Amino acid sequence: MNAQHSTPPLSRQDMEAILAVTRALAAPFDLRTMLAEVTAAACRVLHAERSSVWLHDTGSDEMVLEVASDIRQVRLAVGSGLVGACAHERQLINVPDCYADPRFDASVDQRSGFHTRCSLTLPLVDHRGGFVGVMQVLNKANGVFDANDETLAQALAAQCAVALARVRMTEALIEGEKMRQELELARVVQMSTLPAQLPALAGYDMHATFLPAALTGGDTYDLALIEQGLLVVLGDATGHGIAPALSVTQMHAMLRMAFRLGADLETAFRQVNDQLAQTLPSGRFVTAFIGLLDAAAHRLRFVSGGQGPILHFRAARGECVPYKATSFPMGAMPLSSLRPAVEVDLAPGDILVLLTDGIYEYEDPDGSQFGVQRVEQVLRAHHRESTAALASHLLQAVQAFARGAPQDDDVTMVLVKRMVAG
Amino acid sequence: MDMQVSELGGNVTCVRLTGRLDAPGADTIDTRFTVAVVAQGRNAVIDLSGVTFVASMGIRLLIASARGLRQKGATLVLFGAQELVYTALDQAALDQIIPIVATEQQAIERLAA
Repeated sequence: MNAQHSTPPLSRQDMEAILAVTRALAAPFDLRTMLAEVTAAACRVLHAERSSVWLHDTGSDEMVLEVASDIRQVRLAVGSGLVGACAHERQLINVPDCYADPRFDASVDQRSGFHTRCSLTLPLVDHRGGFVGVMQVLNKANGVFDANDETLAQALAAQCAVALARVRMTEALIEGEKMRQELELARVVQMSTLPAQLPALAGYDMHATFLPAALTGGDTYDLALIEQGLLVVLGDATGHGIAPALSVTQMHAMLRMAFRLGADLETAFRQVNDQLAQTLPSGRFVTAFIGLLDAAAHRLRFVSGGQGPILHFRAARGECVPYKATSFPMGAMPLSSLRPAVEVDLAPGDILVLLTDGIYEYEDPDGSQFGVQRVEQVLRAHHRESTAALASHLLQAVQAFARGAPQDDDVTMVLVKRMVAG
Repeated sequence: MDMQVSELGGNVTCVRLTGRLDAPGADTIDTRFTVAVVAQGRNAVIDLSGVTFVASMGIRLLIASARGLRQKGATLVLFGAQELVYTALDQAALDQIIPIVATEQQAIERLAA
């Protein structure tokens, strides 16, 4: 029989029993412990031999038995058996003689050896009215479940649904915290690949800034004195977060290795590009500027995979010469040919300005982008200052332009300035 | 960002884009664009004349599609880019991976070449 009649009020004794359950359910924070409390309380309050809680798996639309004293990991399709029928109808089902009810599935009894005589099965509905599961109690001692039991069971089910929501919320918070800790670890690993200290190079002043939009970023940079000269790298993997951080860190490590093995600029670029084309997932690639500065000749040679514009601020003229990428983004596909490296002579006071699109494409609240011209204005106004001060001015200009608009992309700057003698 | 897909003669897919191909724009059309362009595995031309702006995430979508098509033995050609859009594509040296031409006729001829 399905419950349609009015429910009798709880007696003082029943109320105390439910309150005791409420207190008991306030303590546990893990699902299994909480459900064990519920099923134990259901047996105690309703004088039942056995109880179980079935949770609704929204993915498969099945009912999953999470806790019972001797049966685990049972799944039922919604609509199958009394539990499935309750899930389907979302109504309390009180059956005094289960084997006489066509909805009863005797196979569970056959597997467990238990004999179900009578049952009370009722839906668990959370505080937002969502269906979350089914509670079932079996075999009332000395009889069958009556209207009073139905009232008690409904009060218990309401407590169970609230406790379930709380436990799931707690689990989500814990999962979120674990994720945050893992991201923090990834951030530490990524930051460890950046230069701990910038190299000292006579006659040059250099500065780098890395401000990821998330805990981990898709940008990277390198400034290192190697056998071939001063290595200058700025990389930007599409997107930000863990996946691009891995891509860009992979590119960074490959480049360092290629140069350590004595590769020249073009060879390193080609090898790393082709390696990335093989290993990066589809749709991922890295824009990268890779340059080598001969500090004695003040000559920079560079190749760029999709990274642009590259700005050469010429102090004598107070203007920027923009360069575009020499090749497509690294890892997009293997290289069949490579344009020659670009050579730039740095005069006293000249600055190589490498900025990721997190600056050029920083949007104000109206959707306008910071763009190249605003970068040039800052360079013209502050090029005589140190590269650290210049970077600070650039950031201030971006922040003033943004008028509080949030940072959506990683912001990375590498500035290399040939100092004016004396 | 809006897109319209049509069939051209010679078994060529034509996608006409309108609006800003920036991060939100690319996000809006991402799946539909990939299905229309890559899933078919046929030569495709993209009309950029209605695109007013392109940013890195838009370039990413174009590259990913070109790469996907190339793996299927087909080619992607872009045409009709306005000056601002062409400059952005040029800065990223996109022409080395995707042919960029001025008109639809040139795009079709490029596929036939």
